[in-house]
Amino acid sequence: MKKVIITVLAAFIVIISAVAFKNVYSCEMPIKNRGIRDAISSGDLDVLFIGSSTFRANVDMPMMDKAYDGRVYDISYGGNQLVATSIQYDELKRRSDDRYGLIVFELGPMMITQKVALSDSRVIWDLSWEGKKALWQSMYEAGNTDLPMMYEYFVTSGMDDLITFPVTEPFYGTRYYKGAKTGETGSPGKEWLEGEEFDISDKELVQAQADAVVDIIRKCRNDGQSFIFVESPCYYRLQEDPTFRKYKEEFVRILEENDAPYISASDVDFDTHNADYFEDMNHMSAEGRRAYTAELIRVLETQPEGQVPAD
Amino acid sequence: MSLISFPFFIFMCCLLAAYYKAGEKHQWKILLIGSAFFYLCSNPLYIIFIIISIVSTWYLMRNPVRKNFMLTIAINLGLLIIFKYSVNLGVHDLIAPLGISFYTFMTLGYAHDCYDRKIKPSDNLWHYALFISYFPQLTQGPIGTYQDMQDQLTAYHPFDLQKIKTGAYRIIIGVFKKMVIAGRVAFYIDTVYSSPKGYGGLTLIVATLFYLVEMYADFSGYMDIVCGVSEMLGIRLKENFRRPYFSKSIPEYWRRWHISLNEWFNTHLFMPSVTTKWNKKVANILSRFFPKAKKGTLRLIVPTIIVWIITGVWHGAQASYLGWGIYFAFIMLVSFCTQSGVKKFNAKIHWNPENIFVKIFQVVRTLVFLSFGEIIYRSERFSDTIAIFKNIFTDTRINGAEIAAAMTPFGNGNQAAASMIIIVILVTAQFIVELMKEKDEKAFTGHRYIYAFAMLVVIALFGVAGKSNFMYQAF
Amino acid sequence: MEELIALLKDVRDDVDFENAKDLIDSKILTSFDIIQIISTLDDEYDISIPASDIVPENFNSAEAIYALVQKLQG
Repeated sequence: MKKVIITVLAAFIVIISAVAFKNVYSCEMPIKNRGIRDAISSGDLDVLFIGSSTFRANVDMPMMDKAYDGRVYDISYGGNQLVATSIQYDELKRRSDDRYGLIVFELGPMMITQKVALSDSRVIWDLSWEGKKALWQSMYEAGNTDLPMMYEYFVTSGMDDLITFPVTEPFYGTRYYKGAKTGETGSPGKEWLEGEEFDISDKELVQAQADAVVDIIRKCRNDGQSFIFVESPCYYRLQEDPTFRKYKEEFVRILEENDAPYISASDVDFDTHNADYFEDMNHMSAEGRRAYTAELIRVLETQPEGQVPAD
Repeated sequence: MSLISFPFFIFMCCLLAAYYKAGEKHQWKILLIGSAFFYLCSNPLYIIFIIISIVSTWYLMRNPVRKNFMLTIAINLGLLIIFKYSVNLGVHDLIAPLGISFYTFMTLGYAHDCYDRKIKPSDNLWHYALFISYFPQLTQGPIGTYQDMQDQLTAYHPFDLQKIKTGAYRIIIGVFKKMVIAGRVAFYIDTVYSSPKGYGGLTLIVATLFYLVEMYADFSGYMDIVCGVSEMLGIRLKENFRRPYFSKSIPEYWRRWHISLNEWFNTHLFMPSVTTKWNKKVANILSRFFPKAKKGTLRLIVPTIIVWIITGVWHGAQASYLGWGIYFAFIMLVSFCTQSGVKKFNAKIHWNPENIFVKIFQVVRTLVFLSFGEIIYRSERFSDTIAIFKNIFTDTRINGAEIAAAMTPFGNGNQAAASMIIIVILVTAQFIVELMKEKDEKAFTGHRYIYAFAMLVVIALFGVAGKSNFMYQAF
Repeated sequence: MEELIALLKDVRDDVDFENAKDLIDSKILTSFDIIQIISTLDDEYDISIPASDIVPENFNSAEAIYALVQKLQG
């Protein structure tokens, strides 16, 4: 019986230690070329992108580097969660005094239909303990959480990465540059893009995500932070989907109601019918991202500095 | 009540306390009450059907004449067919009573053995009720036989701390297999098989191999939990698995996988079919077309086809299950019919079955045939099955891009490589354990505390706490 | 008895039918073998082995099989 107790106790101690270590120190792991820690170490920035995998694939960092003298960064794994974006903003403000000329948030129409959930463990990984708690709190308030999810959030998420860090980090480190993908991804071809089936007709508005947009706007105003929402173009078939259009209008309505500046996909000179530019419905190929980034830079530079200050 | 859940843990604590406090005369009653409670927690309204089965079978088979036996079959099989194949009959949303596939088989096995005079009918309705409703084997088996179970269930089991520890250890092993290995690999398979046309051959092969891993880890893991729970009550259940993936032939595989089900089919369907007059007639007819064939082989043909088709549809009313059954019927027949021919050929080329490379070849060959069968089984649509085979045979390349693509079903790029590494480590560890046990059953029986420690840590830190899909529960 | 052993060897020539007493229990014979044996006995001795007699006790050794045959021959 004594052996049983020792075994269980020993296991418990190891588990608690691993969990505590991960939750408190994961944000300090030396991750290269992506993540909040790396963003902070880049110091003051002219442009900071905060978005999802769309921003990861569709922004060409070398070009941005040139346009802004290297003072750019891309935090790009929010996993379609506006709720997460809001928390990431808080995290940056909490952990550093760096100043950002302009923060670019993602205007992703379907993001306001995403159920609040854990879509990317990297989000949690990157946050400090306070950030982790804050994100869980907002997820909890949005409903939708249960005990298994809480367990996954605090205990198991990111354990894989922690254990395999020495092996996977060198591999991953080379695939990113300042948070954006560096791979020379190609297009699967027009036929594939035309044939790819998708059905988003059952998606509904998730109030928590819509509220997060307002939250972001409010936080930036309070901090006097310049910001803008940018819609990254997607393949025309998705763009013209009625459901997609509906939520684009809704997202824009929220932004206009709050006097927030934004750049629509159509405001940028980019051919969404060109199959060579896309890897799938949302993500661009290397060729596409370069073409888009060139135009985006042009548009960003014509935007008025800052935006309507809080009254 | 799921077996991996907090309510079940509480249930077991209460049950164990009451069970070991009860005296000799009453212990089995606690077990019966516990089983009834377990059933009510899961499926309250449907308890009526298992009661119908228990009571009608017990009364009818008290006098094991042909008429009663036929009636018993009609009632039990009738209920099973109505519930399992209701969709085919046009009725939707009919949930099957918990464990109906398994307790029906136990019931029919009992009835058949009574009819054949292999056993004496039970003289105590409540003892018989316990046999059928004994909760550890209710949801996914093993399909116990009256001969094996009856004495154990009604005997008195004094408290034995060793049994509790052994049972708990077995449960930990089961949870490890289910929650860590099967749970992790499930995401990958579900992702790929839900739209397989978009994946290259390498990814499909990986997904299929993972499916073999998932099936084994999930099902045998559940069996470990079930056996562990039963062990804590002092009752030994039959092993349902014997390291099946080390089989050197498909027939051997079916002696090592879901052993209780295949033994049931063998005893109650296959053997009886073989010895019937009509089968003899069929064999005689066939011998005119195949004069050189051994009579014994010809007698196998129709029973094999029948048994495998039934095994297939036992899994469910879908075409993929039927296809799977037919596939294995075909392989088993080819295996039987070519056995003597192969033996002669092997002798000629000095094939040495003890040679390690020969053994590896046989194991790999078996796994390949198994994989094909499982592709048929797992595909969600017939068009998918075709697409998968086509992609595997025409589109398998091994290069950097394909390897990277093969990792994407684990989720987005961020976790994919890490998840893949972890799962490969876990599966390799499991494989080594099984390989050692294949050579020596007693391997890994020492140092159990260290293994338990390691498994507990891995379960807690890497277990998938989300929805657990018990693969055979829906049957 | 010798005749029987010869028949059994015809089915499986690698099994020691003279001495083995655990043909079924030790899984020496597979169900495939048993069926071959049953068919052979069926034809040679003109008996019909009912399913209820296909139990381990009756097939564990050559002697047991012989006893079964004799029983069924009446």
